[in-house]
Amino acid sequence: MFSCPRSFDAGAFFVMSKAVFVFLSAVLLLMPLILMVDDFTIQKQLIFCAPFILILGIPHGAIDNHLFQKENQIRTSRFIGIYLGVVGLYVLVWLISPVTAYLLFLVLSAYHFGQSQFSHYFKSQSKLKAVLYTIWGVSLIAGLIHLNINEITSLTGEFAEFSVLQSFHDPLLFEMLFTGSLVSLVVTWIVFILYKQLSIQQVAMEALVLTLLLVSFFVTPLLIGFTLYFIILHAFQVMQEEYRYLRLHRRVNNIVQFIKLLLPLTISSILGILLLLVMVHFGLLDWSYGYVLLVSISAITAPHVYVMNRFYAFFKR
Amino acid sequence: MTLLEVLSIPKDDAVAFTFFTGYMAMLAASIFFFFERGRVDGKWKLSLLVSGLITFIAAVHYYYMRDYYLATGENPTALRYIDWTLTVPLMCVEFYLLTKAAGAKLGLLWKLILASVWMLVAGYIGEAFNPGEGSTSHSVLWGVLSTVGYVYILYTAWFGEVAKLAEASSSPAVKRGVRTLAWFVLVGWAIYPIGYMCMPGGWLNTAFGWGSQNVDLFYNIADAINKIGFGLVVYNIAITSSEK
Repeated sequence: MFSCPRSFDAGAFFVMSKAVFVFLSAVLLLMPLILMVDDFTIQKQLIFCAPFILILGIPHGAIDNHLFQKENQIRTSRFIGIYLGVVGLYVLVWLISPVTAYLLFLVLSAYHFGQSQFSHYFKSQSKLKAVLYTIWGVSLIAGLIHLNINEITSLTGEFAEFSVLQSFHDPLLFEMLFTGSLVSLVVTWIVFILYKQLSIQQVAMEALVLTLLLVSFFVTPLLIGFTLYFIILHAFQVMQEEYRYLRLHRRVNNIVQFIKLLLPLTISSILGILLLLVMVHFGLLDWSYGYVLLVSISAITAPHVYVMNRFYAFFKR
Repeated sequence: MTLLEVLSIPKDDAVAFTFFTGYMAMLAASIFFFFERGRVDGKWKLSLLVSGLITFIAAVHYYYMRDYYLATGENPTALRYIDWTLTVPLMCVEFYLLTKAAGAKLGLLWKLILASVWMLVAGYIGEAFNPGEGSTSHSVLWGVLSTVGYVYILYTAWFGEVAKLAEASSSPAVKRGVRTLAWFVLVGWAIYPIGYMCMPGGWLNTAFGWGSQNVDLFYNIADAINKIGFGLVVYNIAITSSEK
Protein backbone atom coordinates (compact mmCIF):
# COMPACT_ATOMS: atom_id res chain seq x y z
CA MET A 1 0.00 0.00 0.00
CA PHE A 2 2.70 2.47 0.99
CA SER A 3 5.72 3.01 -1.16
CA CYS A 4 9.22 3.94 -0.12
CA PRO A 5 10.11 7.62 0.14
CA ARG A 6 10.66 9.12 -3.27
CA SER A 7 11.19 12.60 -4.59
CA PHE A 8 8.22 14.50 -5.88
CA ASP A 9 9.23 14.61 -9.50
CA ALA A 10 10.24 10.99 -9.49
CA GLY A 11 9.58 9.27 -12.74
CA ALA A 12 7.46 9.94 -15.75
CA PHE A 13 4.65 7.86 -14.34
CA PHE A 14 4.01 10.10 -11.37
CA VAL A 15 1.05 11.74 -13.15
CA MET A 16 -1.11 9.02 -11.65
CA SER A 17 -0.76 8.49 -7.92
CA LYS A 18 -1.65 5.17 -6.32
CA ALA A 19 -4.59 6.87 -4.63
CA VAL A 20 -5.92 7.89 -8.05
CA PHE A 21 -5.49 4.33 -9.31
CA VAL A 22 -7.34 2.90 -6.30
CA PHE A 23 -10.09 5.47 -6.81
CA LEU A 24 -10.44 4.61 -10.52
CA SER A 25 -10.60 0.92 -9.69
CA ALA A 26 -13.11 1.46 -6.89
CA VAL A 27 -15.36 3.57 -9.12
CA LEU A 28 -15.23 0.97 -11.89
CA LEU A 29 -15.73 -2.04 -9.63
CA LEU A 30 -18.02 -0.72 -6.88
CA MET A 31 -20.20 1.81 -8.67
CA PRO A 32 -22.09 -0.78 -10.78
CA LEU A 33 -22.84 -2.77 -7.62
CA ILE A 34 -23.99 0.32 -5.71
CA LEU A 35 -26.26 1.23 -8.63
CA MET A 36 -28.11 -2.03 -8.14
CA VAL A 37 -29.13 -1.18 -4.58
CA ASP A 38 -32.57 0.39 -4.52
CA ASP A 39 -33.78 2.88 -1.95
CA PHE A 40 -30.49 3.86 -0.35
CA THR A 41 -31.90 6.02 2.46
CA ILE A 42 -29.63 8.40 4.36
CA GLN A 43 -29.75 6.06 7.36
CA LYS A 44 -28.58 3.11 5.25
CA GLN A 45 -25.89 5.29 3.74
CA LEU A 46 -24.73 6.33 7.19
CA ILE A 47 -24.54 2.71 8.37
CA PHE A 48 -22.56 1.82 5.24
CA CYS A 49 -20.23 4.85 5.24
CA ALA A 50 -19.66 5.65 8.93
CA PRO A 51 -17.32 2.68 9.57
CA PHE A 52 -15.16 3.68 6.60
CA ILE A 53 -15.05 7.32 7.65
CA LEU A 54 -14.32 6.46 11.28
CA ILE A 55 -11.77 3.71 10.67
CA LEU A 56 -10.03 5.03 7.57
CA GLY A 57 -10.93 8.73 7.49
CA ILE A 58 -10.19 9.75 11.07
CA PRO A 59 -6.64 8.29 11.19
CA HIS A 60 -5.40 10.66 8.49
CA GLY A 61 -5.78 13.49 11.01
CA ALA A 62 -4.70 11.45 14.01
CA ILE A 63 -1.03 12.34 13.86
CA ASP A 64 -1.48 16.08 13.58
CA ASN A 65 0.48 16.42 16.83
CA HIS A 66 3.48 14.53 15.44
CA LEU A 67 3.43 16.43 12.14
CA PHE A 68 3.20 19.80 13.86
CA GLN A 69 5.66 19.08 16.63
CA LYS A 70 8.26 17.83 14.18
CA GLU A 71 8.80 21.38 12.93
CA ASN A 72 7.61 23.42 15.91
CA GLN A 73 8.91 23.51 19.47
CA ILE A 74 5.70 22.91 21.37
CA ARG A 75 4.84 20.51 24.17
CA THR A 76 2.27 17.78 23.47
CA SER A 77 -0.02 18.92 26.28
CA ARG A 78 0.04 22.50 24.99
CA PHE A 79 -0.61 21.34 21.42
CA ILE A 80 -3.57 19.19 22.47
CA GLY A 81 -4.89 22.02 24.64
CA ILE A 82 -4.84 24.51 21.75
CA TYR A 83 -6.23 21.86 19.35
CA LEU A 84 -9.16 21.05 21.61
CA GLY A 85 -9.65 24.76 22.29
CA VAL A 86 -10.14 25.40 18.57
CA VAL A 87 -12.50 22.41 18.35
CA GLY A 88 -14.51 23.85 21.28
CA LEU A 89 -14.59 27.30 19.71
CA TYR A 90 -15.86 25.81 16.48
CA VAL A 91 -18.68 24.01 18.28
CA LEU A 92 -19.53 27.36 19.85
CA VAL A 93 -19.80 28.91 16.37
CA TRP A 94 -22.21 26.09 15.44
CA LEU A 95 -24.35 26.96 18.47
CA ILE A 96 -24.36 30.70 17.75
CA SER A 97 -24.54 30.71 13.96
CA PRO A 98 -24.91 27.35 12.22
CA VAL A 99 -24.86 28.92 8.75
CA THR A 100 -21.52 30.65 9.47
CA ALA A 101 -20.06 27.42 10.87
CA TYR A 102 -21.32 25.45 7.90
CA LEU A 103 -20.05 27.98 5.35
CA LEU A 104 -16.65 28.12 7.03
CA PHE A 105 -16.53 24.33 7.06
CA LEU A 106 -17.20 24.20 3.33
CA VAL A 107 -14.55 26.81 2.53
CA LEU A 108 -11.90 25.21 4.78
CA SER A 109 -12.71 21.79 3.35
CA ALA A 110 -12.52 23.10 -0.21
CA TYR A 111 -9.03 24.48 0.38
CA HIS A 112 -7.90 21.39 2.26
CA PHE A 113 -9.22 18.94 -0.33
CA GLY A 114 -7.60 20.93 -3.14
CA GLN A 115 -4.31 21.10 -1.26
CA SER A 116 -4.16 17.35 -0.72
CA GLN A 117 -5.12 16.76 -4.36
CA PHE A 118 -2.41 18.95 -5.90
CA SER A 119 0.36 19.51 -3.39
CA HIS A 120 2.36 16.47 -4.50
CA TYR A 121 2.93 18.18 -7.83
CA PHE A 122 4.64 21.21 -6.26
CA LYS A 123 7.86 21.73 -4.35
CA SER A 124 6.66 24.91 -2.64
CA GLN A 125 3.41 26.59 -1.68
CA SER A 126 2.24 29.97 -2.96
CA LYS A 127 -0.84 32.18 -3.12
CA LEU A 128 -1.53 31.20 -6.72
CA LYS A 129 -1.43 27.55 -5.72
CA ALA A 130 -3.77 28.29 -2.83
CA VAL A 131 -6.17 29.73 -5.41
CA LEU A 132 -5.97 26.50 -7.42
CA TYR A 133 -6.59 24.42 -4.29
CA THR A 134 -9.62 26.46 -3.34
CA ILE A 135 -11.16 26.53 -6.81
CA TRP A 136 -10.71 22.77 -7.20
CA GLY A 137 -12.21 22.18 -3.77
CA VAL A 138 -15.14 24.50 -4.48
CA SER A 139 -15.78 22.65 -7.77
CA LEU A 140 -15.80 19.39 -5.88
CA ILE A 141 -18.07 20.49 -3.04
CA ALA A 142 -20.38 22.57 -5.24
CA GLY A 143 -20.59 19.55 -7.57
CA LEU A 144 -21.42 17.24 -4.67
CA ILE A 145 -24.19 19.54 -3.48
CA HIS A 146 -25.49 20.50 -6.93
CA LEU A 147 -25.64 16.92 -8.17
CA ASN A 148 -27.40 15.75 -5.01
CA ILE A 149 -29.50 18.81 -4.35
CA ASN A 150 -32.78 16.89 -4.11
CA GLU A 151 -31.39 14.51 -1.53
CA ILE A 152 -29.87 17.38 0.46
CA THR A 153 -33.11 19.39 0.34
CA SER A 154 -35.17 16.47 1.58
CA LEU A 155 -32.56 15.73 4.25
CA THR A 156 -32.48 19.29 5.56
CA GLY A 157 -36.27 19.28 5.56
CA GLU A 158 -36.47 16.00 7.43
CA PHE A 159 -34.41 16.94 10.48
CA ALA A 160 -35.15 20.04 12.54
CA GLU A 161 -31.50 20.98 13.16
CA PHE A 162 -30.75 21.05 9.45
CA SER A 163 -33.64 23.39 8.70
CA VAL A 164 -31.45 26.45 9.37
CA LEU A 165 -29.19 25.30 6.56
CA GLN A 166 -32.09 24.74 4.16
CA SER A 167 -32.14 28.28 2.78
CA PHE A 168 -28.44 28.04 2.07
CA HIS A 169 -28.93 25.10 -0.31
CA ASP A 170 -30.55 27.11 -3.07
CA PRO A 171 -30.46 24.98 -6.27
CA LEU A 172 -29.81 27.98 -8.52
CA LEU A 173 -27.01 29.26 -6.27
CA PHE A 174 -25.21 25.92 -6.37
CA GLU A 175 -25.78 25.48 -10.08
CA MET A 176 -24.11 28.83 -10.68
CA LEU A 177 -21.36 28.11 -8.17
CA PHE A 178 -20.68 24.73 -9.74
CA THR A 179 -20.58 26.08 -13.29
CA GLY A 180 -18.55 29.14 -12.29
CA SER A 181 -16.01 27.11 -10.33
CA LEU A 182 -15.59 24.63 -13.18
CA VAL A 183 -14.95 27.43 -15.67
CA SER A 184 -12.52 29.08 -13.22
CA LEU A 185 -10.77 25.77 -12.69
CA VAL A 186 -10.23 25.27 -16.43
CA VAL A 187 -8.80 28.80 -16.70
CA THR A 188 -6.55 28.19 -13.67
CA TRP A 189 -5.31 24.92 -15.13
CA ILE A 190 -4.47 26.69 -18.41
CA VAL A 191 -2.53 29.36 -16.47
CA PHE A 192 -0.61 26.65 -14.60
CA ILE A 193 0.23 24.90 -17.87
CA LEU A 194 1.36 28.15 -19.49
CA TYR A 195 3.58 28.97 -16.51
CA LYS A 196 4.90 25.38 -16.54
CA GLN A 197 3.67 24.68 -13.02
CA LEU A 198 1.73 21.67 -14.23
CA SER A 199 2.23 19.53 -17.33
CA ILE A 200 -0.55 18.83 -19.82
CA GLN A 201 -0.50 15.18 -18.73
CA GLN A 202 -0.94 16.12 -15.08
CA VAL A 203 -3.85 18.40 -15.91
CA ALA A 204 -5.38 15.73 -18.17
CA MET A 205 -5.17 13.24 -15.30
CA GLU A 206 -6.73 15.71 -12.87
CA ALA A 207 -9.50 16.52 -15.36
CA LEU A 208 -10.20 12.81 -15.72
CA VAL A 209 -10.26 12.31 -11.96
CA LEU A 210 -12.58 15.26 -11.42
CA THR A 211 -14.89 14.01 -14.18
CA LEU A 212 -15.03 10.59 -12.54
CA LEU A 213 -15.65 12.20 -9.17
CA LEU A 214 -18.55 14.20 -10.55
CA VAL A 215 -19.96 11.13 -12.32
CA SER A 216 -19.76 9.17 -9.06
CA PHE A 217 -21.49 12.06 -7.22
CA PHE A 218 -24.22 12.04 -9.87
CA VAL A 219 -24.91 8.34 -9.99
CA THR A 220 -24.43 7.36 -6.35
CA PRO A 221 -26.26 8.66 -3.28
CA LEU A 222 -24.80 11.68 -1.48
CA LEU A 223 -22.82 9.97 1.28
CA ILE A 224 -21.66 7.05 -0.86
CA GLY A 225 -20.16 9.35 -3.49
CA PHE A 226 -18.53 11.53 -0.88
CA THR A 227 -17.13 8.58 1.09
CA LEU A 228 -15.59 7.10 -2.06
CA TYR A 229 -13.78 10.38 -2.60
CA PHE A 230 -12.96 11.12 1.03
CA ILE A 231 -11.54 7.74 1.92
CA ILE A 232 -9.58 6.95 -1.20
CA LEU A 233 -8.56 10.19 -2.83
CA HIS A 234 -8.21 12.26 0.30
CA ALA A 235 -7.49 10.23 3.46
CA PHE A 236 -5.49 7.50 1.71
CA GLN A 237 -3.45 10.04 -0.25
CA VAL A 238 -2.74 12.17 2.82
CA MET A 239 -1.73 9.13 4.88
CA GLN A 240 0.68 8.08 2.15
CA GLU A 241 2.31 11.50 2.30
CA GLU A 242 2.39 11.51 6.10
CA TYR A 243 4.01 8.10 6.11
CA ARG A 244 6.58 9.17 3.54
CA TYR A 245 7.38 12.30 5.55
CA LEU A 246 7.75 10.46 8.86
CA ARG A 247 9.90 7.79 7.24
CA LEU A 248 12.07 10.41 5.65
CA HIS A 249 12.59 11.97 9.11
CA ARG A 250 13.23 8.56 10.68
CA ARG A 251 10.22 8.95 12.95
CA VAL A 252 8.85 5.61 11.75
CA ASN A 253 10.60 2.78 9.97
CA ASN A 254 7.73 0.64 8.84
CA ILE A 255 4.00 0.50 8.42
CA VAL A 256 3.40 -1.14 11.82
CA GLN A 257 5.10 1.73 13.63
CA PHE A 258 3.06 4.16 11.57
CA ILE A 259 -0.19 2.43 12.54
CA LYS A 260 0.88 2.47 16.21
CA LEU A 261 1.44 6.20 15.90
CA LEU A 262 -2.04 6.66 14.45
CA LEU A 263 -3.85 4.55 17.03
CA PRO A 264 -4.06 6.72 20.21
CA LEU A 265 -5.78 9.76 18.69
CA THR A 266 -7.80 7.65 16.26
CA ILE A 267 -9.25 5.62 19.11
CA SER A 268 -9.80 8.77 21.24
CA SER A 269 -11.60 10.52 18.36
CA ILE A 270 -13.78 7.51 17.58
CA LEU A 271 -14.65 7.10 21.27
CA GLY A 272 -15.43 10.83 21.51
CA ILE A 273 -17.78 10.66 18.52
CA LEU A 274 -19.36 7.44 19.81
CA LEU A 275 -19.92 9.12 23.18
CA LEU A 276 -21.76 11.95 21.43
CA LEU A 277 -23.84 9.42 19.48
CA VAL A 278 -24.68 7.55 22.70
CA MET A 279 -25.73 10.87 24.25
CA VAL A 280 -28.06 11.40 21.28
CA HIS A 281 -29.39 7.87 21.66
CA PHE A 282 -30.29 8.40 25.31
CA GLY A 283 -31.72 11.85 24.69
CA LEU A 284 -28.93 13.69 26.53
CA LEU A 285 -28.17 15.64 23.38
CA ASP A 286 -31.13 16.93 21.41
CA TRP A 287 -29.58 16.62 17.95
CA SER A 288 -29.91 14.01 15.22
CA TYR A 289 -27.06 11.56 14.54
CA GLY A 290 -26.30 13.18 11.21
CA TYR A 291 -26.08 16.65 12.73
CA VAL A 292 -23.76 15.45 15.51
CA LEU A 293 -21.47 13.89 12.88
CA LEU A 294 -21.50 17.08 10.81
CA VAL A 295 -20.69 19.32 13.80
CA SER A 296 -17.98 17.05 15.19
CA ILE A 297 -16.30 16.46 11.83
CA SER A 298 -16.34 20.17 10.99
CA ALA A 299 -14.95 21.03 14.45
CA ILE A 300 -12.05 18.60 13.98
CA THR A 301 -11.49 19.86 10.45
CA ALA A 302 -10.68 23.44 11.50
CA PRO A 303 -7.39 22.77 13.39
CA HIS A 304 -6.55 19.87 11.05
CA VAL A 305 -6.59 22.17 8.01
CA TYR A 306 -4.16 24.54 9.75
CA VAL A 307 -1.77 21.74 10.73
CA MET A 308 -1.89 20.21 7.26
CA ASN A 309 -1.22 23.56 5.65
CA ARG A 310 1.95 23.85 7.76
CA PHE A 311 2.78 20.23 7.04
CA TYR A 312 2.67 20.72 3.27
CA ALA A 313 4.87 23.83 3.58
CA PHE A 314 7.48 21.88 5.62
CA PHE A 315 7.09 18.68 3.65
CA LYS A 316 8.32 20.24 0.44
CA ARG A 317 11.33 22.00 1.89
CA MET B 1 -24.71 -10.64 -47.99
CA THR B 2 -21.84 -8.70 -49.56
CA LEU B 3 -21.47 -4.99 -50.15
CA LEU B 4 -22.80 -5.34 -53.71
CA GLU B 5 -26.10 -6.58 -52.35
CA VAL B 6 -26.52 -3.70 -49.93
CA LEU B 7 -29.23 -1.50 -51.37
CA SER B 8 -28.69 1.58 -49.27
CA ILE B 9 -27.04 2.87 -46.16
CA PRO B 10 -29.45 5.03 -44.18
CA LYS B 11 -28.09 8.58 -43.98
CA ASP B 12 -28.90 8.87 -40.31
CA ASP B 13 -27.43 5.53 -39.31
CA ALA B 14 -24.30 6.47 -37.39
CA VAL B 15 -23.56 2.83 -36.58
CA ALA B 16 -23.46 1.82 -40.25
CA PHE B 17 -21.36 4.89 -40.98
CA THR B 18 -18.80 3.98 -38.33
CA PHE B 19 -18.71 0.37 -39.52
CA PHE B 20 -17.75 1.51 -43.02
CA THR B 21 -15.27 4.19 -41.94
CA GLY B 22 -13.86 1.85 -39.30
CA TYR B 23 -13.27 -0.81 -41.93
CA MET B 24 -11.52 1.58 -44.32
CA ALA B 25 -9.47 3.22 -41.57
CA MET B 26 -8.26 -0.17 -40.26
CA LEU B 27 -7.36 -1.33 -43.76
CA ALA B 28 -5.52 1.90 -44.55
CA ALA B 29 -3.65 1.72 -41.22
CA SER B 30 -2.62 -1.88 -41.96
CA ILE B 31 -1.20 -0.94 -45.36
CA PHE B 32 0.62 1.99 -43.75
CA PHE B 33 2.19 -0.14 -40.99
CA PHE B 34 3.20 -2.91 -43.40
CA PHE B 35 4.84 -0.46 -45.81
CA GLU B 36 6.53 1.62 -43.12
CA ARG B 37 7.98 -1.56 -41.61
CA GLY B 38 10.77 -1.28 -44.15
CA ARG B 39 11.85 2.15 -42.86
CA VAL B 40 12.54 1.23 -39.23
CA ASP B 41 15.47 -0.53 -37.57
CA GLY B 42 15.41 -4.33 -37.40
CA LYS B 43 14.51 -4.43 -33.69
CA TRP B 44 11.27 -2.54 -34.40
CA LYS B 45 10.10 -4.54 -37.38
CA LEU B 46 8.27 -7.12 -35.31
CA SER B 47 6.44 -4.41 -33.35
CA LEU B 48 5.25 -2.79 -36.57
CA LEU B 49 4.23 -6.15 -37.97
CA VAL B 50 2.10 -6.74 -34.87
CA SER B 51 0.58 -3.24 -35.22
CA GLY B 52 -0.27 -4.05 -38.85
CA LEU B 53 -1.73 -7.42 -37.87
CA ILE B 54 -3.96 -5.83 -35.21
CA THR B 55 -5.51 -3.39 -37.66
CA PHE B 56 -5.64 -5.97 -40.48
CA ILE B 57 -7.46 -8.55 -38.34
CA ALA B 58 -9.84 -5.80 -37.25
CA ALA B 59 -10.36 -4.68 -40.88
CA VAL B 60 -11.36 -8.21 -41.94
CA HIS B 61 -13.81 -8.48 -39.04
CA TYR B 62 -15.21 -5.03 -39.75
CA TYR B 63 -15.79 -6.13 -43.35
CA TYR B 64 -18.05 -8.92 -42.08
CA MET B 65 -19.56 -6.93 -39.22
CA ARG B 66 -20.74 -4.04 -41.38
CA ASP B 67 -22.54 -6.47 -43.71
CA TYR B 68 -24.00 -8.40 -40.81
CA TYR B 69 -25.24 -5.20 -39.25
CA LEU B 70 -26.78 -3.89 -42.50
CA ALA B 71 -28.45 -7.21 -43.24
CA THR B 72 -29.86 -7.89 -39.79
CA GLY B 73 -29.75 -4.56 -37.90
CA GLU B 74 -28.39 -6.52 -34.94
CA ASN B 75 -25.19 -6.29 -32.93
CA PRO B 76 -22.55 -8.61 -34.40
CA THR B 77 -21.52 -9.70 -30.90
CA ALA B 78 -19.84 -12.99 -31.82
CA LEU B 79 -17.80 -11.44 -34.64
CA ARG B 80 -16.86 -8.55 -32.38
CA TYR B 81 -15.50 -10.82 -29.68
CA ILE B 82 -13.68 -13.06 -32.16
CA ASP B 83 -11.93 -9.91 -33.37
CA TRP B 84 -11.07 -8.79 -29.82
CA THR B 85 -9.91 -12.26 -28.77
CA LEU B 86 -7.24 -11.97 -31.45
CA THR B 87 -6.38 -8.29 -31.35
CA VAL B 88 -6.40 -7.43 -27.62
CA PRO B 89 -3.77 -10.07 -26.71
CA LEU B 90 -1.74 -8.71 -29.63
CA MET B 91 -1.88 -5.28 -28.01
CA CYS B 92 -0.43 -6.91 -24.90
CA VAL B 93 2.30 -8.34 -27.13
CA GLU B 94 3.10 -4.74 -28.10
CA PHE B 95 3.67 -3.84 -24.45
CA TYR B 96 5.97 -6.84 -24.12
CA LEU B 97 7.93 -6.07 -27.28
CA LEU B 98 8.40 -2.43 -26.30
CA THR B 99 9.77 -3.30 -22.87
CA LYS B 100 11.71 -6.40 -23.96
CA ALA B 101 14.88 -4.41 -24.46
CA ALA B 102 14.58 -3.18 -20.86
CA GLY B 103 14.42 -6.77 -19.60
CA ALA B 104 10.77 -7.82 -19.89
CA LYS B 105 10.35 -11.55 -19.29
CA LEU B 106 8.00 -13.88 -21.15
CA GLY B 107 6.00 -14.20 -17.90
CA LEU B 108 4.86 -10.59 -18.29
CA LEU B 109 3.45 -11.38 -21.72
CA TRP B 110 1.50 -14.37 -20.41
CA LYS B 111 0.13 -12.43 -17.44
CA LEU B 112 -1.10 -9.68 -19.73
CA ILE B 113 -2.59 -12.18 -22.18
CA LEU B 114 -4.37 -14.03 -19.37
CA ALA B 115 -5.77 -10.79 -17.99
CA SER B 116 -6.99 -9.72 -21.43
CA VAL B 117 -8.59 -13.13 -22.09
CA TRP B 118 -10.30 -12.98 -18.67
CA MET B 119 -11.58 -9.48 -19.51
CA LEU B 120 -12.93 -10.60 -22.89
CA VAL B 121 -14.47 -13.91 -21.80
CA ALA B 122 -16.32 -12.24 -18.91
CA GLY B 123 -17.44 -9.43 -21.24
CA TYR B 124 -18.63 -11.97 -23.83
CA ILE B 125 -20.68 -13.93 -21.30
CA GLY B 126 -22.14 -10.63 -20.05
CA GLU B 127 -23.16 -9.62 -23.53
CA ALA B 128 -23.92 -12.79 -25.45
CA PHE B 129 -25.81 -14.57 -22.71
CA ASN B 130 -27.78 -11.57 -21.56
CA PRO B 131 -31.44 -12.69 -21.20
CA GLY B 132 -33.77 -11.45 -23.95
CA GLU B 133 -35.22 -8.44 -22.17
CA GLY B 134 -31.92 -7.64 -20.54
CA SER B 135 -30.89 -8.37 -16.99
CA THR B 136 -29.15 -5.71 -14.92
CA SER B 137 -27.74 -8.19 -12.42
CA HIS B 138 -26.29 -10.35 -15.22
CA SER B 139 -24.83 -7.33 -16.98
CA VAL B 140 -23.35 -5.88 -13.76
CA LEU B 141 -21.92 -9.17 -12.49
CA TRP B 142 -20.06 -10.03 -15.69
CA GLY B 143 -19.18 -6.39 -16.30
CA VAL B 144 -17.51 -6.16 -12.90
CA LEU B 145 -15.69 -9.47 -13.41
CA SER B 146 -14.46 -8.26 -16.79
CA THR B 147 -13.31 -5.00 -15.19
CA VAL B 148 -11.03 -6.96 -12.84
CA GLY B 149 -8.96 -7.98 -15.88
CA TYR B 150 -8.95 -4.41 -17.16
CA VAL B 151 -7.83 -3.04 -13.78
CA TYR B 152 -4.95 -5.54 -13.71
CA ILE B 153 -3.73 -4.41 -17.15
CA LEU B 154 -4.18 -0.78 -16.11
CA TYR B 155 -2.10 -1.37 -12.99
CA THR B 156 0.63 -3.13 -14.95
CA ALA B 157 0.78 -0.30 -17.47
CA TRP B 158 0.87 2.51 -14.87
CA PHE B 159 2.57 1.06 -11.81
CA GLY B 160 3.46 -2.57 -12.43
CA GLU B 161 6.06 -4.36 -14.49
CA VAL B 162 5.49 -2.48 -17.75
CA ALA B 163 5.78 0.92 -16.05
CA LYS B 164 8.89 -0.09 -14.10
CA LEU B 165 10.59 -1.54 -17.16
CA ALA B 166 9.80 1.54 -19.21
CA GLU B 167 11.15 3.77 -16.43
CA ALA B 168 14.32 1.69 -16.36
CA SER B 169 14.68 1.89 -20.13
CA SER B 170 17.48 4.06 -21.48
CA SER B 171 15.38 5.11 -24.46
CA PRO B 172 13.31 8.30 -23.96
CA ALA B 173 11.18 7.23 -26.94
CA VAL B 174 10.24 3.97 -25.19
CA LYS B 175 9.48 5.82 -21.93
CA ARG B 176 7.26 8.32 -23.70
CA GLY B 177 5.68 5.65 -25.88
CA VAL B 178 4.78 3.30 -23.06
CA ARG B 179 3.34 6.22 -21.11
CA THR B 180 1.17 7.11 -24.10
CA LEU B 181 0.04 3.50 -24.41
CA ALA B 182 -0.82 3.54 -20.70
CA TRP B 183 -3.03 6.55 -21.44
CA PHE B 184 -4.69 4.57 -24.23
CA VAL B 185 -5.48 1.80 -21.75
CA LEU B 186 -6.81 4.32 -19.24
CA VAL B 187 -8.93 6.50 -21.52
CA GLY B 188 -9.31 4.62 -24.81
CA TRP B 189 -10.17 1.27 -23.32
CA ALA B 190 -12.60 2.94 -20.92
CA ILE B 191 -14.88 3.74 -23.89
CA TYR B 192 -15.80 0.04 -24.19
CA PRO B 193 -17.68 -0.14 -20.86
CA ILE B 194 -19.82 2.78 -22.03
CA GLY B 195 -20.92 0.67 -25.00
CA TYR B 196 -21.36 -2.37 -22.77
CA MET B 197 -23.69 -0.41 -20.46
CA CYS B 198 -25.95 0.43 -23.43
CA MET B 199 -27.09 -3.18 -23.97
CA PRO B 200 -30.55 -4.14 -22.68
CA GLY B 201 -30.42 -4.19 -18.88
CA GLY B 202 -27.21 -2.17 -18.84
CA TRP B 203 -27.11 0.89 -16.63
CA LEU B 204 -27.09 3.48 -19.45
CA ASN B 205 -29.91 1.54 -21.12
CA THR B 206 -32.15 1.47 -18.06
CA ALA B 207 -31.24 4.86 -16.55
CA PHE B 208 -31.07 7.01 -19.70
CA GLY B 209 -32.75 4.82 -22.32
CA TRP B 210 -29.65 4.61 -24.49
CA GLY B 211 -30.53 1.98 -27.08
CA SER B 212 -28.58 -1.15 -27.86
CA GLN B 213 -27.53 0.31 -31.24
CA ASN B 214 -25.20 2.56 -29.22
CA VAL B 215 -23.25 -0.53 -28.17
CA ASP B 216 -21.76 -0.77 -31.65
CA LEU B 217 -21.37 2.98 -32.01
CA PHE B 218 -19.15 3.18 -28.91
CA TYR B 219 -17.30 -0.02 -29.77
CA ASN B 220 -16.54 1.22 -33.29
CA ILE B 221 -15.28 4.58 -32.03
CA ALA B 222 -13.17 2.88 -29.33
CA ASP B 223 -11.74 0.36 -31.81
CA ALA B 224 -10.70 3.09 -34.24
CA ILE B 225 -9.02 5.12 -31.48
CA ASN B 226 -7.32 2.22 -29.75
CA LYS B 227 -6.23 -0.05 -32.56
CA ILE B 228 -5.01 2.63 -34.96
CA GLY B 229 -3.82 4.90 -32.16
CA PHE B 230 -1.93 2.07 -30.46
CA GLY B 231 -0.22 1.27 -33.75
CA LEU B 232 0.66 4.89 -34.42
CA VAL B 233 2.30 5.22 -31.00
CA VAL B 234 4.39 2.13 -31.68
CA TYR B 235 5.23 3.50 -35.14
CA ASN B 236 6.29 6.80 -33.59
CA ILE B 237 8.61 5.05 -31.11
CA ALA B 238 10.08 2.92 -33.89
CA ILE B 239 10.66 5.74 -36.35
CA THR B 240 12.04 8.10 -33.66
CA SER B 241 14.49 5.47 -32.44
CA SER B 242 15.48 4.50 -35.97
CA GLU B 243 16.24 8.06 -37.06
CA LYS B 244 18.94 8.48 -34.37
